[in-house]
Amino acid sequence: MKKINPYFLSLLSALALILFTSGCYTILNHPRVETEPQNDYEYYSCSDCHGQNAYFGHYYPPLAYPGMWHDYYIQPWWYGEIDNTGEQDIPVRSIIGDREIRIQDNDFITNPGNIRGGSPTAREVRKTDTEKSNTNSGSTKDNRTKRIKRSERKARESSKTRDNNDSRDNNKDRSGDDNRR
Amino acid sequence: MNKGKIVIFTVIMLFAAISVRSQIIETISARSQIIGSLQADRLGFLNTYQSGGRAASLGGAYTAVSNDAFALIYNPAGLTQIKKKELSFGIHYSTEDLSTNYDGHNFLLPNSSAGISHLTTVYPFPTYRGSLVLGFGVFKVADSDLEYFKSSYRADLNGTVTNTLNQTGNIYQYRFGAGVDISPRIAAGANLVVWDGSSGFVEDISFEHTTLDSFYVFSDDVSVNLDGLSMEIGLLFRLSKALRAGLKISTPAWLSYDGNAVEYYDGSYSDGAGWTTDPYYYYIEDEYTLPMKLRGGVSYRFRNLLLCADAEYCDYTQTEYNGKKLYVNRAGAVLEKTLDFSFGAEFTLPFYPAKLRAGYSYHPSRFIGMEELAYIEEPTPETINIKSNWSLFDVIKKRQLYSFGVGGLIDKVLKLDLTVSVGSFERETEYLTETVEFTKTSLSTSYRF
Repeated sequence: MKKINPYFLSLLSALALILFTSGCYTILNHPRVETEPQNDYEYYSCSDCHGQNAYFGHYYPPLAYPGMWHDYYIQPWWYGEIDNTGEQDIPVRSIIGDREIRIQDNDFITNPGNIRGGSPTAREVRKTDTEKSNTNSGSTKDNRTKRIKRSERKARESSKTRDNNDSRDNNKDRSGDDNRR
Repeated sequence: MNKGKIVIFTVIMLFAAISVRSQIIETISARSQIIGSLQADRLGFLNTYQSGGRAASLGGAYTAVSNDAFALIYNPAGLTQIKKKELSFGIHYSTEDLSTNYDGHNFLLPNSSAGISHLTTVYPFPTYRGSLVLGFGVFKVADSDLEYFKSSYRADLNGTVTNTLNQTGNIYQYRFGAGVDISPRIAAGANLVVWDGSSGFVEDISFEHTTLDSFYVFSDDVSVNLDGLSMEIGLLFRLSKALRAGLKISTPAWLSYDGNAVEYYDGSYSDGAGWTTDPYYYYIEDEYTLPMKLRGGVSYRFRNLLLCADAEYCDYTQTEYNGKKLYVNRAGAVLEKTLDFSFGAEFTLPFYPAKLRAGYSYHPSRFIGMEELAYIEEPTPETINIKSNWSLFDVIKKRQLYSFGVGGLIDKVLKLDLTVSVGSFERETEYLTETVEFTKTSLSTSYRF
């Protein structure tokens, strides 16, 4: 076989180098942040920043792929069964990268994609570890942060109210038990 | 055997091989000028267009689409669009009816082939942002199956000359590809292409004198293996959610044909005395360098309709054979610059998991000349002199393909694509008219999980 052209090898090496060391946009592993979130507006989960709709935004809109083709073409395999519409209420589990995120009833994901669309269907991923994502930069991010904050607040308030009611009920039950005793 | 003896033995064998090779070159010197062109025309490595189920049914206009394993063929940057692990497999059935008319003598020889057309696997890495996808595939990009029979009375030789060729072979490409998103709207990719193939043919050139009872036949039995290497770089631009553009640059491809062959020369004079030469065994070490290619395409999606178009430019006059450009003495260059283009459309049925496709593609001939007839002049065992009539041709019917296809999704994970392509090509010289009509049916299945 003919000797391989050295220019070809150089080109090959240069390209491989560019592809695999660039890391300018594609991110395989999310930066690990050890500290706990200090403020309400900080992000709790990677999916706060990298929601699926933000992800899909770079590709054909889901409209172009009717539901029957959506799963085949658009749904990443590592997103498992997370519903990108953010409207399903059934408990699902998904593997994201090397971590497992459990999504339970009443949890919500704050999905920038959805919020940007004007119909916030906010959910929050309950954290199973102490990670939090880093934040985006730029004015868009600030707007998103405000909106997320507003929606999160609303959700937290309702959650708090529910918790208070629950705790009140629990106290009642407990007192009832005590009375019975 | 010690090292010294091994070296001496190797040197002797090398000299022997070189001497046999030089001997045969001398023998067929008149025809050796065009052997490179003949092989390039017959072996099919210049016609590696249109592969794949869905891609083929879109006429090959896939550079800006490339959202399945055929991104490995059309645009490696398109790999970034694959979000699930994919296994893909395909089979094909092709027919090629070659009819020749030389000096009023018609012959029709049907050729057909069937087999595995591709086998691929794609793995997208889990990413938090962007996309990184690796792929590997084996593709049958062309076949070398060819059979022809040409016969004609030559007044200048006072006899009938007959040429027959029976050739089989395949050309495969092993493609290792990677695609990565380098910005929200731009993806880049690269392919390393390893060429592999084999081919074998038996060619007979015979002559029968009209009045005298003399006859001879020259037979060449060749078996060669193909190895080669090339590389491709692709870019995919997401100009908007509906509009995309793709670009692919292919580096020169370095191809090497290695093999061995044997020649026979037998005949009989009019007085009944005959001869049979000892078979000539020789080695083949031919190298081709195919030029760079530039391919671009756009695609636009409007609701359930996808429209796409591609164009590919290549200056085939830069093709080299054993370090020199391909040429024939009297005809000059034998190849030309070409611009292939193709269009495709796909309609996704709204209420059923199926797609309908149609495509058109135009692939101009890379050659401007062809061999009309080969014969042996002055047939004596001492001076074998094979001559070839090589002539420029006119294209009567352009090489165009019309493709139709249907694709369906089963249980959200298994996609089936059926494609039928039909086309024809006709060229003629002063004495020879050659018509090829071809159909290709391919069935491709891909499983995503």
